[in-house]
Amino acid sequence: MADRSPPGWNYDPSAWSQRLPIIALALVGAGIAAYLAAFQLGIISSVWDPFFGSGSRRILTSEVSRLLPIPDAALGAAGYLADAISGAIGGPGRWRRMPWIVILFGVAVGPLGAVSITLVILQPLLFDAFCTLCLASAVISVVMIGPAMDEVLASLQHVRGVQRDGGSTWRAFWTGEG
Amino acid sequence: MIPQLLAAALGAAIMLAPGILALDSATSDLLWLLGPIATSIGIAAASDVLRGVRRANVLVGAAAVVGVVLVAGTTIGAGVAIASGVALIILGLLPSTVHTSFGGGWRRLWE
Repeated sequence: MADRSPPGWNYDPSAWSQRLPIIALALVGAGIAAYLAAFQLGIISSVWDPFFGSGSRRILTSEVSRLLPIPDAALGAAGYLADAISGAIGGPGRWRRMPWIVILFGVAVGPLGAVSITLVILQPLLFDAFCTLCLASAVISVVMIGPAMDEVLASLQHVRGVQRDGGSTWRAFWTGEG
Repeated sequence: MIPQLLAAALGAAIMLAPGILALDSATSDLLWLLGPIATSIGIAAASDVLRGVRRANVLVGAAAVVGVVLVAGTTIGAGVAIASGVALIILGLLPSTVHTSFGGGWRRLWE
């Protein structure tokens, strides 16, 4: 809808056609991470890896995966669910009406990607191994960043515009109104 | 978008090269470090709104070229790192097709 597009844009970054693919990716990521977490928690005894053999087991049972009180894959699953939920809240045009959720969405997507990249780097450096599903999960988290950021940009432009016009940044952040 | 996707694919190849080519340890560590970063930058920069991020792969490419000289690995390892580094620099410097202006883009936030 042209009237929902931010000024100077030719599409609405909050349209469902823009957000549904990201939400679907997040749900796939959550499924993969939940499967890996099930292995780490001992719910399943083996983990599927078509390319790197025992690499997945080595990585998923490493000390890095147990640095926190809960397995890292479980945290990943929670992160993906946060992405899916924050991506689904609000309708088209939410970049203007609900900047807070759009920015929360961006904050959820960005760090998840950064953590995934870090874990991918650590796999061969520390353990001389790769884990296929961990790599797939990392690719998903990075693929989500670009499509999510256009909506974040639209919201930030809107809040900045309200501020420039002398309105309340705080109010614009929560309600979209200046 | 195509140069960015090529950079992403090249990053994945860099990451897998040590295992396939049985490279020395120091060069392997360098490529394992830079490969995922190059892939991530390529994937993110393939999106119109983050197209400016592609320039970061120039730094990754330069790090590959300089890094392999510093670690002084095998000839094959050096060849892989330098070739892929130069390719990343070129891909990062290629102009990106602009499909939409995004209302002034990220710069508008600082104006």
